[in-house]
Amino acid sequence: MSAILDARTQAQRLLSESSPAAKLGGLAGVLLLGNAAVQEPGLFIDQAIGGLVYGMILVMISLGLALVLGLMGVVNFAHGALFMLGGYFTYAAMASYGIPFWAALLIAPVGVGVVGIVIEVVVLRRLYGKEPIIGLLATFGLTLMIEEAARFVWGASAVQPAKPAFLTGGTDLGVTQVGTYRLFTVAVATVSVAGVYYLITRTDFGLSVRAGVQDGEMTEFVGVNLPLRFTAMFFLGSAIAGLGGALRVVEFGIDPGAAEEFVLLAFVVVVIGGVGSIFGSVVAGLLVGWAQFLIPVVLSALAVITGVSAINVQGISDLIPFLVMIAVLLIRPRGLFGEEGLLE
Amino acid sequence: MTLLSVSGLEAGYETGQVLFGVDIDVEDGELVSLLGRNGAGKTTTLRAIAGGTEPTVLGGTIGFDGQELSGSAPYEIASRGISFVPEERRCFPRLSVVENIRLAINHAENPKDIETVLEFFPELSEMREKHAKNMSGGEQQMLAIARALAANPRLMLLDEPFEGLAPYIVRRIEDIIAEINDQQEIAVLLVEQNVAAAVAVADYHYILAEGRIVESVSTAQLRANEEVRQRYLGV
Repeated sequence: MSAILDARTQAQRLLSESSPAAKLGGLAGVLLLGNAAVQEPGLFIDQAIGGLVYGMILVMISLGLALVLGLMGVVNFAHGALFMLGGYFTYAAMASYGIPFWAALLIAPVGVGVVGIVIEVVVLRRLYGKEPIIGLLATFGLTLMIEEAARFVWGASAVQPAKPAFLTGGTDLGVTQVGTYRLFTVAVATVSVAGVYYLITRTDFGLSVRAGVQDGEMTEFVGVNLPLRFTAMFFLGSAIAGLGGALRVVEFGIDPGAAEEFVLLAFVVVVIGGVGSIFGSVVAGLLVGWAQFLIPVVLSALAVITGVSAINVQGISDLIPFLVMIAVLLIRPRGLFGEEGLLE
Repeated sequence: MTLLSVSGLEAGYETGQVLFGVDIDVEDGELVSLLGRNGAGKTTTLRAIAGGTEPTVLGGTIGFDGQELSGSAPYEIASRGISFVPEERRCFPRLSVVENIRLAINHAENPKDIETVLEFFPELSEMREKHAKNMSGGEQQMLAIARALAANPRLMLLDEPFEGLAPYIVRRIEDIIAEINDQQEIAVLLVEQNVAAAVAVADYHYILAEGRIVESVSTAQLRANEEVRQRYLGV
C-alpha cells in the first residue's frame, strides 16, 4: 500500500516538473499506443506481455547495479556477468545434476550471490574511494574472465535447460494465448523486486543502507558497520541478477555474450531511471522493455493508418533502448527520478 | 575518573603532518573546549579520536575508558560510547528527522528512547517527517546533536556547533549543550573558534596552536589572561 503511495507521489512529481512539450509527447504516445491496441489487440497484448517479461528481467539486473553504484560508488561492469552466471548455474543444476527447477531457482541465485561476495571481498573492497574508472576497468576485466570461463565450461553456443512440464503450456487471455512460463517469470520477478524495495525503504537494514548512500563516513560515525553492509548489498544485488538469469535461461537460453549485452542494457536502465534511484530503475526497466516490444507494433499500426509504409521501420528493436535513453536525457538530464538523488 | 586521555597524538594527511603531540584529558561528565585559530588542528584532533578515514594517526595514544581507540573502525569507536557531531552537521539529507535519530538508536549499545530525545528538542518533534535537507541550519544542528544524544554516549565530540548560526540559535544550542552535560551527565569535548561561546559553556579549555597544546586553563583563567587570548586566539 505504501509502495503504491510512493509511486503516486513520485509520478505526481514527475508530471508537475514536466514541460508542456513533454506532456504533449506523452499524450501523443498514449494515442499511438491506443491506435496500435485497437488495430491488433491480440498482437498488442502479446507484445505488452513480452515487454513486461523482458522489462522485469532488466529491472532485476539494474537493481543490483543501481544499489552498488549508489552505496559503494563502484561502476560494476561485471554485473552482467553475474546475470549470465545465474543462467549457467541454473542450466548446470538442471541439465548436469538433475536438480528440479524449483530448487535450481533457489540454488543458482545463492551461488551467484556467493560469487558476488568473493568479487566484493577480493577485488572491489580495494577500490572503494578510488577513481571510478579504476573500478570500471577492474570489473570489465572480471567480466572478460567470467565470460571466458563460461565459454570454457559450457561452450560458445547458447545452452538451455528443458522447461519444467507444469510451466510449458499456455494460458488463455481471451484475445490471445500467453505462455504460462512468461506469467511465472513476471510473478517471480515482481515478488523479488517488491521484496528488495521493501527491504531498502521500510526496514532498519534498509535505513542504514540509505544513510550509507547519502554519507558513508557519517553512517560509520553513527555506529553502522558499513563494510558488512557493502558485502550484504553485493550479495543481494548479485543474487537478484542471478535470479533474473535463472528465469531467462529456461525461456531463451543463455550464451557468453549475454554478460555484455545485458550489462549495457542495465546501464541504460539505471541512467534512464536516475542513477541510484531504486524506484527509477523499476520504472525505467519496464519502460525499456515495453518500448522495445511495443514501438514496432505502434509503428506498424501508424503505417497502416497513415498509409505511409516507410514509417514501419524494420529491425530497430535493438536500438530502441538507446533511443529511449537519448530522448529521456534530452528532457531530464538526471534521468526520470535522479533529482532527489540516490535510492529514493 | 579520566574518560578520554589523548597523549602525544601525532596525525596528518597526505599533504603533511598537522598534529605534533596533542595531550588532552576529559574527565567523566566534564565539559571541555578545544580552542584555536583556523588551521590549528582542532578538527583533525576530533576526527582522529572519532576514527575518520582521515587523518592518519602517526603516533601517540587515544585512551577511552581505559581502552586504546586508535586503529579501531569509526563504528567500533561509536559503539564504545562516543558520539561525534562533525563540522557542517552532516545530517542525512534525504532521511527524515525520525529516521536520522532512529539510525543512531538502532546502532547504539544502550540507546535512549526516541520520544525522550524528541522531548528534549521540542522544535524537532514538530517536524518528525521533514527531510534534513529542507531544514534550516539551526534545525539541522539540533538534529545532529539529537542524533548524537540518541546513542546515549558517555562522550560527545562537537565540532564548531555554533558556526554560521543566528545569535538566538547560538544561545539555544549553548543551553542544549549545557543541559546535555549537566542533566544527562555526558562528557563533552567542544571544538570552537568562538571564545565567547566556549567560555559560556565549558569548564576547562585547551588551546591548540600549530598542532600542539600550548595552554590549558580554566574559564576564570581564560577570562583573566588577555595575553593568552591575544596570542593564540586573536581576541
